[in-house]
Amino acid sequence: MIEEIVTSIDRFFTPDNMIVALKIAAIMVIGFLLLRLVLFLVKRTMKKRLSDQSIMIVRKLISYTVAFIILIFILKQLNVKLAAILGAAGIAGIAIGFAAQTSLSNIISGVFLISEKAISVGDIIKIDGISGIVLSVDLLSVKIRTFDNQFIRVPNEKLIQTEVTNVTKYPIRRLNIDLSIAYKEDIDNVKELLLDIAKQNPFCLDNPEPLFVIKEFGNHGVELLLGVWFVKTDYLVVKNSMMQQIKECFDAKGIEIPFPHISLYAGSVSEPIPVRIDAPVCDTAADEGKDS
Amino acid sequence: MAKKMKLWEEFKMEHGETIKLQIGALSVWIKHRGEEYLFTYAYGDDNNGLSVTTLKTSDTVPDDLTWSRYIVQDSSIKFQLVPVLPDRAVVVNPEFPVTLAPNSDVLFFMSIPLWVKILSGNNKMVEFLEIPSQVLSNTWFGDSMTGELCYALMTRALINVEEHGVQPQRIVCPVRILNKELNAFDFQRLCVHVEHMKVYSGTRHLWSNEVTITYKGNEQPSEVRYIDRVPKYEKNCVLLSLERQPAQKRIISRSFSLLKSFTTFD
Repeated sequence: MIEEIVTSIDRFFTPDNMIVALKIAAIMVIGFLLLRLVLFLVKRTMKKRLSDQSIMIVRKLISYTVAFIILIFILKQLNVKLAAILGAAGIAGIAIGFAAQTSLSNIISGVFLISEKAISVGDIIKIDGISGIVLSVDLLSVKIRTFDNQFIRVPNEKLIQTEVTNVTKYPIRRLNIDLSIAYKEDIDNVKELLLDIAKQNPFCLDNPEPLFVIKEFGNHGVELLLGVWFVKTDYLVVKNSMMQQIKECFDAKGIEIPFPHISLYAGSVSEPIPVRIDAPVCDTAADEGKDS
Repeated sequence: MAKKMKLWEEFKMEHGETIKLQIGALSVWIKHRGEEYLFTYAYGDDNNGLSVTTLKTSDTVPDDLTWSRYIVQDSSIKFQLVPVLPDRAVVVNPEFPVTLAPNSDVLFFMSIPLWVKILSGNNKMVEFLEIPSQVLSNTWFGDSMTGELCYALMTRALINVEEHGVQPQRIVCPVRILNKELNAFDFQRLCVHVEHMKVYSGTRHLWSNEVTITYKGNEQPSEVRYIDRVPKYEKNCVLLSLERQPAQKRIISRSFSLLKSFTTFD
């Protein structure tokens, strides 16, 4: 038994086989080094011209192509007939295609996503109530990191079918602040105060100009909208500072921000229901009785 | 009694010493404690001039400021203040819209708040701190998809530089505008890429080198030239700082805006 194993090992390690093994090792090492060099050069030369997303796709295409070429060379060294393998691969491809329709759908969706350039690596997107930063746009799925540091994989097919909001597509955005003021307030005065707050905030752009809209006469007060433009990276600082400054200003100027409340009237449009507040009854005798 | 020193010149700090730099509205305090320097800054009124003062221990530094630490190997380093122009383009909003007659030119003197770079070191000075003397508001120049982020500056586009008065915390930037069109040219906003400009010290003002903007019609971008020469509006101007980014001598760019606003509701 052991002799048979030793004999078969001897047969395998013939000088011819050793040369083939060395050639395969050399092809793999040289191929790998060449691939690393090409990927490095691609990254360096295309950094200024292409987006991170495009560079990633080019690098992946080059990696797969070079890996395929290395495989062909290795099979050639092993005297494998490539025509037969390619034929078998074709038949297998059809079978796999039928079995993996969802994956193919994702791949085709991925091609459309990439060619559309609707989203790219580093963008902040909203999809189905999820917000996060795009980590990669691959052929099968888009990977997102949410702001509370969760990893989410969204299949490309879903992205194609669903409404996706790219929050950071353009360099500037508008923050819409919905406000409500009591009916007794002077709208002109409030408008002036709000526009002045936006003007004083260094993160709010003075051009495009802030937007002031009287939206409607609501149930509890006059509904207003203040829209301020800002650079997309300043979202949090603009939102927090504007909200705080508006609240402080309204408090200082005595401007009432109404909250939901109901006024009851007793038949008359102007007179509220009379309410009488009695002095609390101090039942000391009863308390004394309990104590005893 | 506080001791005053000359600005824009190198200075050293003794151990335990505190100095106050006053650059317009900006106050910077630097303390020397052993092998480290502590620094902090705050903004006040814009009319406080320009000075470096050594404070006595009895002089107070506001309590509510947050200090930062700068640790060095050699505690006997020198410091130097260098005035520079802002790090982004400045959009100048003249008080009133300007109209320039056909085939004519005008030289405006824009007054731009300086940024101060504090360098430290012995043989080789390295940047220690850079702060604007006045916090300028952000603005956007161009459309919302392809424009650029700039600083907004409301200023009087003056033809006579002396009308600005002497404002040591500001740099006078000469901007020559040429209208080579056959029609009068109106503009409300002017974008000046000050990051390509050097700073010089004159006898009365700080100066930048001149920039020439040639208007070639609403549909065409303007031609911008940064004149690499010492300003000729005061004698004996001395170079204080180089430009942040070298510019090509001739740039084609969008420099004027007639658009009032492009905000729409939803």
